Amino acid sequence: MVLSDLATQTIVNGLLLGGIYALAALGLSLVFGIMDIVNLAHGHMLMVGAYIAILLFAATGITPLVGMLLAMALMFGLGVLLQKVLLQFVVDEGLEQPIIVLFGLALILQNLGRVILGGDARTADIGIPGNGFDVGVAFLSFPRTVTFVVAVLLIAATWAFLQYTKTGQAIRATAQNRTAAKYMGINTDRIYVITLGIGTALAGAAGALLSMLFPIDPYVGWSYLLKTFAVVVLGGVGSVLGTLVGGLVLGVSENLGALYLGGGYRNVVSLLIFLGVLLIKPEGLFGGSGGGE
Amino acid sequence: MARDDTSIRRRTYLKGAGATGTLAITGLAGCTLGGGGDDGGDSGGDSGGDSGGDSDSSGDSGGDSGGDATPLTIAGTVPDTGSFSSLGEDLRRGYELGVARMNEQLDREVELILRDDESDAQTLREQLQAIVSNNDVNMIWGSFSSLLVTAGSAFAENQGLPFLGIAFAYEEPHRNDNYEWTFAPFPKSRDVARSTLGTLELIPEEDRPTNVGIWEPNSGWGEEQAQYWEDVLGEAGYDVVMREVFELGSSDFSTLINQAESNEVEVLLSNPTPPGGITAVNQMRDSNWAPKMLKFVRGADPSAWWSALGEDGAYALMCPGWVPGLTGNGNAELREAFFDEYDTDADYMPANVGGSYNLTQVAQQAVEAAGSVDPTAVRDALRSEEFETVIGTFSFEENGLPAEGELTAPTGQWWEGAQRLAYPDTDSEQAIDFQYPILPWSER
Amino acid sequence: MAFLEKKPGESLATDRRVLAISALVVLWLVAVPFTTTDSLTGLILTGLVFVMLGVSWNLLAGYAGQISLGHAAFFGMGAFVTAWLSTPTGAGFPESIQVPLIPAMLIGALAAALIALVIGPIIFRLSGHYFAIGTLALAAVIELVMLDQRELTGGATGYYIQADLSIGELLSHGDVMFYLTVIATIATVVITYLIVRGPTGLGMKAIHDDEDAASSLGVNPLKYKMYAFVVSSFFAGLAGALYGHYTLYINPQSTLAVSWTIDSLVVVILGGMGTFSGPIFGAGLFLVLDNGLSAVVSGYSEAVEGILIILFIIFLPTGLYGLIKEYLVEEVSGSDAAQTE
Repeated sequence: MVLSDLATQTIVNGLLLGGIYALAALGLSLVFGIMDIVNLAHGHMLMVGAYIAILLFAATGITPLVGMLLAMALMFGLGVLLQKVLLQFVVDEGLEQPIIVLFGLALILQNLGRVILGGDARTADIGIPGNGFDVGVAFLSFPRTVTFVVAVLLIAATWAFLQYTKTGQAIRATAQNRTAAKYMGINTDRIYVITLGIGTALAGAAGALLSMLFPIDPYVGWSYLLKTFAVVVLGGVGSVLGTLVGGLVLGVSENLGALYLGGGYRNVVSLLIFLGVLLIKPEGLFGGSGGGE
Repeated sequence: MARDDTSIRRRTYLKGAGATGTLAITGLAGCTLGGGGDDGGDSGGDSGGDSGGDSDSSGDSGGDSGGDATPLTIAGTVPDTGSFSSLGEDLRRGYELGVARMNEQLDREVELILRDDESDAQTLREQLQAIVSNNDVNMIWGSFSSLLVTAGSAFAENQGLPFLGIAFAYEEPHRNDNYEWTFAPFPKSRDVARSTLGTLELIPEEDRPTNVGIWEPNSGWGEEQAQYWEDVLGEAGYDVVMREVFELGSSDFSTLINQAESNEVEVLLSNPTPPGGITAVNQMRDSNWAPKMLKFVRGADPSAWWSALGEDGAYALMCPGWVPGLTGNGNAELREAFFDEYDTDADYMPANVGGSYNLTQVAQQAVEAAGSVDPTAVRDALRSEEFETVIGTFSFEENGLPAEGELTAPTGQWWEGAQRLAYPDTDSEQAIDFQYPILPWSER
Repeated sequence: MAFLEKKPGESLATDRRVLAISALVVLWLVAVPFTTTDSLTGLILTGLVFVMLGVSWNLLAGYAGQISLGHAAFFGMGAFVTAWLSTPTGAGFPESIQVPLIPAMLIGALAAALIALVIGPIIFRLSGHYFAIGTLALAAVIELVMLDQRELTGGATGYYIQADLSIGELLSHGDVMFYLTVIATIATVVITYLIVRGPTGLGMKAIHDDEDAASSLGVNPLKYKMYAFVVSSFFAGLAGALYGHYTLYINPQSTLAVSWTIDSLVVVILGGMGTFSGPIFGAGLFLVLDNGLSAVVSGYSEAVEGILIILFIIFLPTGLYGLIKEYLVEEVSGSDAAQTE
């Protein structure tokens, strides 16, 4: 039946997209869970990562998959710098100050993006040869499949890092109880620096992957912020596995919304799911709050 | 992606006073016009000379022709930045060439004050307000796309100033907004639909496709254009198998592509923004699907189409009002002036240069006929005269629409890096034979 | 960060100097349309709109402590509802529902307040970060839905408003709108002042400082939050109605855009959050920055604003108001928030 083929294809597209949404949201989720800060500049950091990959691709033709590594390295540096020169003044200082500082940062990034790169949307190409393939009735587009696989690998790597390395365990301990972590001899200031570095690097990675699929302009930050926050709310703050599930749910529901309600509702659907979950079950559909697990 | 983001930019009320991005053109050095160029197989006369003969029939209130040399001061905006930025330069160039010609051929000084509207209707309005409050403006020229042109038009209607706008196919405002001052020397939605039908009829009957899909942007013009396509093509016996609304500025077309594929769409018609059109073709390639014929009105207009897509952008059709390959009415002079003035490697001019140049011809002929720059006199001349421009010979209805049936909307096709005339069939060497069908991605 | 700039009981209005300066400012404003160009009048009108946005957002965020990132929604809805009444044909409504512009603007503002009244009890189930991001999402939903409802809003094409309040040759429509904006701004400032000086203001301050403590003392936090939210939304809606009917063109993508929220926030942070006159100074500074500065740093004005709000919030949380107070006024009665924080 034609309709069900179409629905299957739509769900497959949604899953492939959802993987990147999950990666995009992971950094936001970790920073929120561990530092209790909502990074309002997260979407803009993603935009910067995308531009790094796009500029590298435009200048040299190097695939954004390599550009992604560069973006991650640079963005890790940016995150560390940000924590050391700015956020350490305001982290743990209540709600208003970090929100406004990061809001200001978002404005700065957006403005620099516009001045340096112009207001036009730009896009990169996957830059490596390859063809999509059929799985049953569904067609898996090559760039979407590659970006999905890379995103899921990065999520798995982050999970393994938190689970099995000493630093990762220290991060999780800090998330659970900062004071206790301090008593146990954990340098929580250093943990914050690392956490923000990782969160920013993950945003950069997601941006680089997205640059292969969608045009990026300096203003995309706000809408990606809302999307990624929706994933965080769906998945539960600080939960890696929850974020993955949340991303997939969001990707699929967006695409089904566009199919059945009309293209105009693609974004409305995700925002409504987000608001609904926020109001009914603020701790997320999957997993509790806090804790880097 | 939600486009809430696109509007996050500063209001620019004031920057008006600060003169950012202001360009006043009073003359262009090195621009030779008027001589009968013949490089383009052109057979038309010099537009200025032609219309000079019409001045005896000038408007009622402009009886003071002759001695009056009040300068013509024109306010205008072009999208130098924002989502239509790829068109800004083309529009600007057509205007510049036109103003240079006007200064040469009119007995009065012509000044055009152009600002950047950032592809934003609100900004456009503010920029026009700033220009008009600081200068003695007596005419306004539009920007790009129905969205921006209607914003400028609404302003001009409020001010009581003659307004000319191209890249403006939307008809509804002409009929419903009591236009008195707005004139659109440009093919309209109905002409676009007829041109689409004409293009289809170039295909031998046995190969002709039947399944039409329409992607309708969620805008007033989107709906109007979709309706014309559905009516005109439906009447001619085509099956409209898909008509889906999408959000202007959306960047994920995968669902629309899947729907088109599953409905077996052969002819895909839409009027997206330029970045949207480019993204859509990229995603068609990724999804390994292509229609047999693709027409993106406005979306495939800019040169950025080819620079972004390269060969992937071939075959796409557009309806930009003017396409290289049209002849007569000053086309040869335009071509000569363009290649004299601008240093370019291209063999063909960008389409929107011709469209905006056509607008300047209308402005010149109207002022000549009125013998004055008095707004009412110019408006009356616009209503009563017949205009000969690079896009054709036409007059206006009272509401500013080009008189029905007088303009044929030329359909252009992207081929080997240039937009060239595919319909109507002419024997200009800059036109091409309509390339059909689009080959599957694997064979391109 | 909640602090009144004077000790409770001490009133700004009793200070003669403040009254004298206010009177002078109002006199100057009255002269504006006659002494400057249209575009400068428009600029000052924009500044007054920022004052209204800033003062109203400050009531909610600075006094009641609810960092809403959805202020633009109320601004835009006020503009649209007013436009539906002043130009009903634009949305396909019958001509008969047309209402004269001034009552239409009040109804528009009331509609914005009504929206706040309806969604308040729901959205206030969220607090802190969740409230901030929830309001941001809510504003985005409203923008997207309005954009989609093309019959009502003109969609991406926008909505053209027909309104003409010009008085003969003497005052153009823009000039009349300017005076209405002056009146509305004064009303916003005075009413907000009365609220924050009254018992309601103390209640708001109490829930801002410590919600749990306040509620154990019998203060109902929701009541005060709602009060601030509804009043704040009313004035934001009024500002939107005025601005929209000055420009005569509104568009879901720009009139409901998050940039209005950003501006409100910048105005308040620059002026001094939670101080009464902060947003007024903030709007002035913002206007100077947005224009004067743009001549100096051209495209970078947004980045400079970003840097300024970061520096202000970290090093000068009392904003411009704090600076002025510190250097110009000898009284150290409030001994300033910088120290109390």
